[in-house]
Amino acid sequence: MLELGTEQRQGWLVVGVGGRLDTATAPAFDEKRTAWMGEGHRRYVLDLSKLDYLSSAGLRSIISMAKQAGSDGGQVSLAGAQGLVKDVIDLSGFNVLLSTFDSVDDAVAAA
Amino acid sequence: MTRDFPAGLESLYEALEFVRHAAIEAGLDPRDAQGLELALEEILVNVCNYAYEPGQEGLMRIRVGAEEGRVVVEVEDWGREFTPPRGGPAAHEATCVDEAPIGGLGVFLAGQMLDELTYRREEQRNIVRMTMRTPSCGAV
Repeated sequence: MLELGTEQRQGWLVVGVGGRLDTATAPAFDEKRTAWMGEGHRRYVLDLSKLDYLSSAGLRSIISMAKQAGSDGGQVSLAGAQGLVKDVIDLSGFNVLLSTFDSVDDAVAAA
Repeated sequence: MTRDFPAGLESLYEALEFVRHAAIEAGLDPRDAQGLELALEEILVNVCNYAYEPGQEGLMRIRVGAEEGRVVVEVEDWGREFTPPRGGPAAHEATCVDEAPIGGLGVFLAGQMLDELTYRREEQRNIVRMTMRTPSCGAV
């Protein structure tokens, strides 16, 4: 139900997050995040264009990731959120806390 | 429509699916159904994690119905009395990542998605009631 794929672009790790990021799938995301951080990645773009569903458990994973990346001198940007996922990000104020972009290209170019 | 589920996270998807279908059948717009699903996830996770003692097997009963232009979903459990969360600082009020608390968004988001979210205690049961309006003028 959660699909994750990664690609490195200009010093960013672009993480494609597809499907659902919710109570059931957030632990798998957290595990991957720990692995990426262990590999030394600090700057992330989460590509949410294929994410259909995001609940507060998913938001918790994202904010934890942003805190960890920030304390290591990095950051997390969000790109491509649509529909309910965009509504959830806006309602929860994550559009203020994190940099958000319409597309991954915009996010990478803004660095 | 009413169904009982074991109060555990393994029931989550089945319960969400049940409510999504029943709510759309009761007239809810599919886009609103996603919002309802989000709110329901927050409520069900609360029941699964906190209503019963660890290791205790418990039930949650979910009822979906239509009432005067709205879909009503009620979630019941027979566990310990639910204490509605007190309003503390929430991520939606923070202005930077460092300040943002990690939790506290679930009930806030549920409230944002729904027209009504209420709790009552009745005969040793916790009952959470959620409502969403259904379109009343046909498709536009």
